[in-house]
This record gives sequence, structure tokens and C-alpha cells, in this order.
Amino acid sequence: MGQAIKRFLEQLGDVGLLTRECVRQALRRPFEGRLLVEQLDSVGVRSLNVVNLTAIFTGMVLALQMGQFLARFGAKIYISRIMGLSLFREMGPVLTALMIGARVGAGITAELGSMKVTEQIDAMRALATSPVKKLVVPRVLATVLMLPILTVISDAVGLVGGLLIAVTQLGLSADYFFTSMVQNTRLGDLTSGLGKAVFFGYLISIIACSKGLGASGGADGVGRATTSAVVAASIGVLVSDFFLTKLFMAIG
Amino acid sequence: MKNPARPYISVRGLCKSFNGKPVLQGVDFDVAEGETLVVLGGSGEGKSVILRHLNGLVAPDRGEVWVDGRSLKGLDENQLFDIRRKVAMVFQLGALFDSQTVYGNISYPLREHSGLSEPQIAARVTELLGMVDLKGTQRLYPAELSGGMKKRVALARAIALEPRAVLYDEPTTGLDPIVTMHINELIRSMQRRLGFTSVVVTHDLKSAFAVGDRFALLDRGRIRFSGTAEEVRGTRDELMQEFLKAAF
Repeated sequence: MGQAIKRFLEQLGDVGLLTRECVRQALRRPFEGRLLVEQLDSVGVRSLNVVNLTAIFTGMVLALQMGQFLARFGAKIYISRIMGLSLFREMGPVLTALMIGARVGAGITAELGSMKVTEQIDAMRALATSPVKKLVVPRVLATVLMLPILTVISDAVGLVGGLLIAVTQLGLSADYFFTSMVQNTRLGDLTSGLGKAVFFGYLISIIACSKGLGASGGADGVGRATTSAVVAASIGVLVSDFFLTKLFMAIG
Repeated sequence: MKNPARPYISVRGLCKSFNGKPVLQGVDFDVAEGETLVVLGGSGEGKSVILRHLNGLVAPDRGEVWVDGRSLKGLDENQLFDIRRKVAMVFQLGALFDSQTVYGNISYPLREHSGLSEPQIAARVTELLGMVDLKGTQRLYPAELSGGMKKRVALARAIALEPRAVLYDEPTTGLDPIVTMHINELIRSMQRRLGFTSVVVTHDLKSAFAVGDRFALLDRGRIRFSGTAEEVRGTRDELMQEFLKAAF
């Protein structure tokens, strides 16, 4: 138990130091625009399919389950407002973050980890360049920028999934579904979800980079680093979600 | 040799432990300007660890390293960039960026530090590839290169910015005897042509004699013996003699 706590605190320290260096390097000229664009493509555009697929099925399942439950009380007309609330506030950001944590986080750790064990990271340093500036900054920035955008897309696709079920299985009209959702959703529901997405983006990418740069011991070490990055990012997302929810509720 | 009186690299009392296990326990040596020093020693003796101290990739627990009269003590990563532009390194397996082509690899330091325009960079890459006998390989990826070719590209990348010193980590490990000979000749000719200071770590004594001016034997974390090729051949040091016997 003591060992586990010590390890956790050490990792927290690594992430803190990497964050500090990342901010320092991000502010230092020149700005690596080309590397950022590459990462925006790899983190954002190429994650669209997996995010959309997750969102549409989650939306459909949510509508099915809630529709059946609400129908018992004759309350299925509330389905769109409940869906809007749960998707915008929770399901959208959290599910998108978990999918990106698995897809992008694992990719980052595996890439940086294999660069580390083949001395490419040291080669960058030996060539008088900063691996943090070249590798970490573009990945963290891209994930922080892309996760809220993917979350908005995921919210929309999830609602379309819900709409499909509401219209075909629950006998509601599409018009009613949307009007009721729009009328009962506040801007704060959407922005609190996006605020979470920004934080999750930072959390996933910085953990993935930190684990990758800390990898050692060949292919086996890279595998272990990748697994532990995905686990840490997922747990991090779920745990911080609770505290962020409390925070956003307090802010109102 | 340019100025043998003045060491370009000095190491004093270098100590380093990893996870509580001491690897270096008071290493001292000097490398004169323009000289090639070969650090010999068995596997796991910490030869590569010494090398990594010379450009600040690793910080010592105790002791000090001077490069071109400047101490590396207390320098942060950004301050070390000045040192690393002067002291290049060729890694054991090349450590080429595998997501980039040969051109991308060799142009990397030029693009970062030289201020050259893209056509000038292209010309310089062609020139460097000519020096290491790899003309026309610009578009190949590291995965398409043999072990010997990778080391040549790594050497071209290391000397791209015309460093004052080059550090070689086991330059011939894993290569067949003929390629080993070619790499040794290349290191020697490059050193003669460009006149930089070199530190080579290896356990291969034949290669060491092919490239070195002076030799230092690392044993249990200290430099046990150091001298010229003549002194190595005439030594009474038992371990050095064993090395000689095993190699020839």
C-alpha cells in the first residue's frame, strides 16, 4: 500500500514537471505549427469514426432504456430533455474522453515509448532540440483543442441516435423531440461539458506523453507503459469527472 | 593534433549510480583537442554512461565535466544546447528518427540550427551523404537501411553542424567484419579530414586500434589504465593483456 502511494505520488510529480516544461516550451519561439497541424489531424480527424460510432449507439441505447422506463409513468415526452442533459453534461465528454484515451493515448505512449527505448528521444536532445517542444507540446495542444470539438460532434450524433429511437420506437415526432430539448437545455449544460473535455484532453495527453517518455526496457517496457497509460487516463477521467461536476455545479 | 596541451574535454571524479548500484566511481580523463580517445571495457561497465555525461544527457552524482573550458555543472537542458551543438553523438544503433527519411534525419539539425534555406540544406545533405558514401539514399526510410548504412546516416547527421567533437557509442557493434572495417576507416578519415576531437567507447579492441590515438580501460567504475597504442601493447596490466589476448 505504501509503495503504491509512493508510486502514485512519483507519477503525479512526473506529470507536474512535464506540464511545467510543456508550458515553458510552448511559449518559446519558434512555434511549431506544422507539427501541431499533423497532430490535429491524427488526434481529431482520424478519431471521428470511433467517436461517432460510440456516440450514435450510446444515444440509441440511452433512448431505448429511458423510453421504456419513462413510458411506465406516461412520461416519455421528457425523453429529449433528459437526453440533452445527460449527453451534454456527462455522456458526451466522458465517453469521448474514454475513446480518445484508448485510441490517442495508447498511440502517443506507444510512439514516444518506442522512440525512447530506441534512443531517438536522446538523439533529439543530443541534437540540441527539446523532445518536449517537438513531441509533447503538439500532442497536448492538439488533444486539448480537439477533445471539446469531438465532444460537440459526439453530443450531436448521440442526439441523432436518440432521435432515431424516439421517432421509430417511442412514437414521438422529430419536431417535438428537438423543440423540447432546445427549450429545456441551458447553455451552461453544454459549456460545463466542454470545460470537462478541455481538462480531459490535457489529462489524457500529458499522462500518455509522461508514460511514453518514461518507458524503458524494450518492446516489453513499451507495452507496459501503454497499458498503464490507458488505465491511468481512464481512471483519471472518471475520477476527475466527479470533482469537475461538483465544481461546475458550485459555479452554477 | 591541433593543440595537444589543452584538453577539449576533461572529466574529474565522475561518479554515477543507478537505482543504488554504483556504475562510475571516480572516473578521470582528458581528451586533447583533435585527439581520438577510445574508452575500452567489458559490457555493462558503464562506458556508454561516461559518454552520455560528456554532452550532458546524464548528470553526474558527483564529479565534473568540462567541455571547451566550460563546466557542465548546473547547466539546464536549454543551456546544454550550446554544448551539444559543439559535441555531437553517434548512438549505438544509429537512433535515426524512423518516421523520417534519410533526408529528414540529416536535415533535422540543419533546419533547427543552421539558418540555411531549404535549397542550401538539400545541397548540404547531398554533400554529407557523399562523405559517408551513401549518395542517392535521401528518400529511403531507416527501416529500409542495413545496420552499417544506419550508422553512416547517423554519422552524417552528427557531423552536419560541423561539431568540434564527436562521441561514438559502440560504433561497430553488431556489424560484420567487412562493414566494421569500412566504418572504422570512415571514422578515421572523417576525423582526419575535419579535425574534430573524438571519444569512442567500444569493447572491440581491433576497432579501437583502427581509430584511436589513445586508449583508456574502464574497470569497476574507474579508469584502470590509459596510454597510446604502443603503451597498450607493452603493458603489464593483466586486464589489458587479457583484452589484447582475446582480440588478437
